[in-house]
Amino acid sequence: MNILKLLVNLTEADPELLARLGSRREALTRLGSLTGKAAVATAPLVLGSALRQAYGRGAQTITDSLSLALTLELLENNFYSRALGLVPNTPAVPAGFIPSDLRPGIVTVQQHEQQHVAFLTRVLQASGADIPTNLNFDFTGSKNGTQSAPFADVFSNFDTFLQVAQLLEDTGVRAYKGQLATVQSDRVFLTAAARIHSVEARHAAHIRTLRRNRNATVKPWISPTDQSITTAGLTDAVYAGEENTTQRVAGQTIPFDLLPIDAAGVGQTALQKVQAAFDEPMTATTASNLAGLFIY
Amino acid sequence: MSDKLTPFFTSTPLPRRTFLRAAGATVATSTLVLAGCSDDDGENTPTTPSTPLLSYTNGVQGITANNVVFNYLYSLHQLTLAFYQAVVAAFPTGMTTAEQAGFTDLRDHELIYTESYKYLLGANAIAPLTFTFATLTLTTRAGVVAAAKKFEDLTVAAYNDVVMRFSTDSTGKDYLLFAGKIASVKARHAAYVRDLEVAGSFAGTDVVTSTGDLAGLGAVLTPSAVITELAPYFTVTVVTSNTAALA
Repeated sequence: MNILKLLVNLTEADPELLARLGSRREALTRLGSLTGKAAVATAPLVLGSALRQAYGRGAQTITDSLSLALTLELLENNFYSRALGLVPNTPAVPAGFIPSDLRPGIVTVQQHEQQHVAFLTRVLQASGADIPTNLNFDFTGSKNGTQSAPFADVFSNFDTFLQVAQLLEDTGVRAYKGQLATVQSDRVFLTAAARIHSVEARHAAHIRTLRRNRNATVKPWISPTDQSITTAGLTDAVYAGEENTTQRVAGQTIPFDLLPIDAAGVGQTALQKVQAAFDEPMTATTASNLAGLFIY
Repeated sequence: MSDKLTPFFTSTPLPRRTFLRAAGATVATSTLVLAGCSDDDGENTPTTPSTPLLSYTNGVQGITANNVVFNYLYSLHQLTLAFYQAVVAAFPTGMTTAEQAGFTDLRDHELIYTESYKYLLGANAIAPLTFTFATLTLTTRAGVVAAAKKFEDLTVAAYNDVVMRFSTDSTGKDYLLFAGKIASVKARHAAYVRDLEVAGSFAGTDVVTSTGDLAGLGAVLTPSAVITELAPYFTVTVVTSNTAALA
């Protein structure tokens, strides 16, 4: 029973291990109830698989997902922190850049991003995975002056700031959604990802509401009637695919054109509501590329 | 407040078929499944429930955990749809045109979700349900917004919980992604109505953990906790304890 003793030693050395083992905890509990040959035969397989996933070794997909999430959160945290004047050695934003009545909401968002950074850093470190470090951010999109700046006035024009915020938040929502299947095998990470995903969506809706209150044509949910704020070849990937009106689940395609979903009696326009009713996932590659617009 | 339940029968552009069905208590309850009663102990006198029971297994032999979870979500969307339909049928005083358009979107989204789940569930689907909102104040903007906040926040917390209940095969991954596509829009709904109630309250400390190792993570509630909160609005007694899928 050396392997079971190893597990005991590991949990003594790392009290959080069992929590991180998540769904595999049940398997290990069952393992503990086995005796004799059955346990000897099964233990290495169960434990090896569990530890590999818990610590990320050989399970690059899960740690890749968490690392992508951390990169996005670091980006967002730095973005809001700069606007709030919290980042040393960066140019100060103009006085009153954030209207005083809107500042508490921006503070709430920034604090959440900071908490997401802390959470993801902790679980990645606990998994023995590399932490993204030395990231430099340029939210004008100029890559530190090496190319033209699509958002040159991001920290002097509050409307530009809100546009970039919306792009970041909607990207975050779609990126987390794109990673749900990858982290599904680990209940702890899956639930955490879903919970962060929902907070990012709350942020996105709030930013959109702020823009709407400043006379932008935009809804809290991604809608085809939203005024476009993207540039082809640069930021259009943020919403690419959101126009989808086809939902396919386990071999069944939902026939929206045949279902009684047109409550307002607007005909084909009802399908616009279908577009808005579902947020679509984004691949890790697309999310990384979008984050890369602001990282040099 | 019974007048608040009648909008289903008033002239609206809604598909008559859908809402007559949703309002058809007699039809709906007659097809509800009696569940959760242990009949293998002959010494106990079976208790007669005062209301019919609703089981998310729908009495379907061998129903998958994926479909049980979808039935649970389907019931939450049925409730929210019925609520928004009542609101849209008789907007409260003090609600602006823009807010009325917003709540119409919310209603339309819920209609899309309920019809989607119903279609995907097919023969596994629970019957259309009826609800009572007699304890809510739907005649004022404040009452409507407060109720919407409650329903949206609870549904977001429910979605945060169910992600771990799907199977890990390709079917389960499809179910997970579909639920995830709705989950974030529900969070957008919640943030919208919260900002209507108190500007800047889109992600308050009552719905996002604010301290400890899980700070920054959205609220999560088990099915039994969600149903306990929503029980006053169901006209059936909802059972979540009879299936491992929702334990």
